[in-house]
Amino acid sequence: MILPPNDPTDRAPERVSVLALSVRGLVKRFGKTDALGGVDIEVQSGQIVGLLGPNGAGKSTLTKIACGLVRSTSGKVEIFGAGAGSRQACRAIGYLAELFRYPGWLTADEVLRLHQRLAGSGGGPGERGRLLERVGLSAVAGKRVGAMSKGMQQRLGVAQALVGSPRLLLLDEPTSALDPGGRRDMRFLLEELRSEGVAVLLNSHLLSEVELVCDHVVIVDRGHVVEAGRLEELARSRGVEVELASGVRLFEGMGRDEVPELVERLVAEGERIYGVRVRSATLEEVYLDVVAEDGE
Amino acid sequence: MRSTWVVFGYALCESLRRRVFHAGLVLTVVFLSLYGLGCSFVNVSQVYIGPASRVVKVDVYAAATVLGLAVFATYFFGVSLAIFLTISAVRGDAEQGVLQSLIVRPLTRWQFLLGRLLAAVAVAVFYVAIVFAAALAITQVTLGWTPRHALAAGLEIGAAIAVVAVVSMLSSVYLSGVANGIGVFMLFGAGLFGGLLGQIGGVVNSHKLEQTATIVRYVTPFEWLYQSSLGRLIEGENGVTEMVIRLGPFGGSVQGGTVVWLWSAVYVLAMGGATVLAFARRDL
Repeated sequence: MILPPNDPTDRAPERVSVLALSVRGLVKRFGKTDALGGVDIEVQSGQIVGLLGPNGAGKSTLTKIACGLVRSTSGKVEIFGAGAGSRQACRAIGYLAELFRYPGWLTADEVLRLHQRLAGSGGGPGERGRLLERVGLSAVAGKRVGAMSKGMQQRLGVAQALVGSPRLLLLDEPTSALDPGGRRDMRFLLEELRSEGVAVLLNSHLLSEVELVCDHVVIVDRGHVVEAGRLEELARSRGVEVELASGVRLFEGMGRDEVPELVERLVAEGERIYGVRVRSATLEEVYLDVVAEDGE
Repeated sequence: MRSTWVVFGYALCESLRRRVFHAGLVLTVVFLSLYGLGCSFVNVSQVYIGPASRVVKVDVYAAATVLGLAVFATYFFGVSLAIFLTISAVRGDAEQGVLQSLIVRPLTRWQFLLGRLLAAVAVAVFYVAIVFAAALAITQVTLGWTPRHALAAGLEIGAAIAVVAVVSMLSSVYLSGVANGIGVFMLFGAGLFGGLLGQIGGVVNSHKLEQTATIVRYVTPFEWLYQSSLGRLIEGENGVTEMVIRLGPFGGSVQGGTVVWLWSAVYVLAMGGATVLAFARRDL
């Protein structure tokens, strides 16, 4: 499913949209198992796209193909017009894997220095200091990874992904080990990156997090995109809740436009109305709906 | 090539900071100390024994025998180190999540492999060179004997270690750490066994056994290089002395010559090429 570029109502500031990630007809088979069965996704610069789906849906496989870690069976994946896995594509991306580990004998600063050298970044100590500060690790720059908590290592992973100022970030469960404060910091960081024009593909199981930070959502199930669009589009009406003397009644299938007629009808029927609320579906409800539908 | 050297530097630091390397150093110091002690206990009261036509140079025999044992230990330590430094290079590191963040950087997979391999070979060969030189020095100081072609022998042991590292690197693409370690050690054992078969074949004059040993040499050229290095160590000794020396650890020695080097080069290139191809096709 191809997503439209940001419109003016999106949270990102106006800027020229560049296609950061283009996935077309992507198929991946592991033996006889179809991990991805023809996926289309686009991510524009300055856009945060949430990639959702149950375990085994193919989210990580998709992300890994975009990074060049996994070869596709067929289809086309391009990063700023360059084939996934090519040097040009690798220069443009930052990646944090779901399962990652840095050698315990390296310090946080050394991890970033190694990645600077591999990425060909000339940022030097200044860039390392800025990145560590950005993820809240400046006080432990000299601490060995082996002595860090899982949450600190995940913050370091995010800093590592930002080495060389990538234009596309591919984050696979970047907050799985973070506490609520850490998740909030990550949200702020992603919002900052969006304002800088960085494109982000955020693979997460935390729907509330995706709801708070993403412009677009793609829901994948068993290798297929089952729903995609802007959050506003997905949050379709679930009906109108009316608080009556007898209790709260939900009028399903109704929207904002039907409220005046509904209220008029109820008053005519002799009901006393204490409150009216149009209910929109939460991302969780949308997700559970489409995943359950697809599973039937 | 810049990326290769970055990976080389990283892998070199990793190798030197590994516990197995530090434990190996301690064990090596213990080994060399015990070797020195053992050599000092060797008491050669007679330099020559036997009639003039069948003279045995006892001092050479004693020194060569203990040095042969030390060379085997050096070879074994070097092989172990080369295996430990490469067993998890690909699949093991990928399973732990170490590899992915490095591979997504703008470097090709063969550059990554080359950097890691060069670092493992550098550490293992340097280690072997030091231990071999120390064993030679101890033998010279305590028993007053140094082989005539020690340098050539040392080079062949070093080359054998490099070949083992290449084999281990290839199998690390397919096997996880422990399985790879077991597999390469089994191959190493097969090489030693082939050498023994050749030795037995020579004694009982069995053409089949000798033929089997030759095939094993081609399959495990690191063993062939080791046997050739043993041959270098006793090159120049002849007559009954050589015959007596061959009853000990030099029984499996051969004259490898240029063929062993050429075959090893072909083997390394083939294994290296296979590793690059296998890694390029591997999903991480």
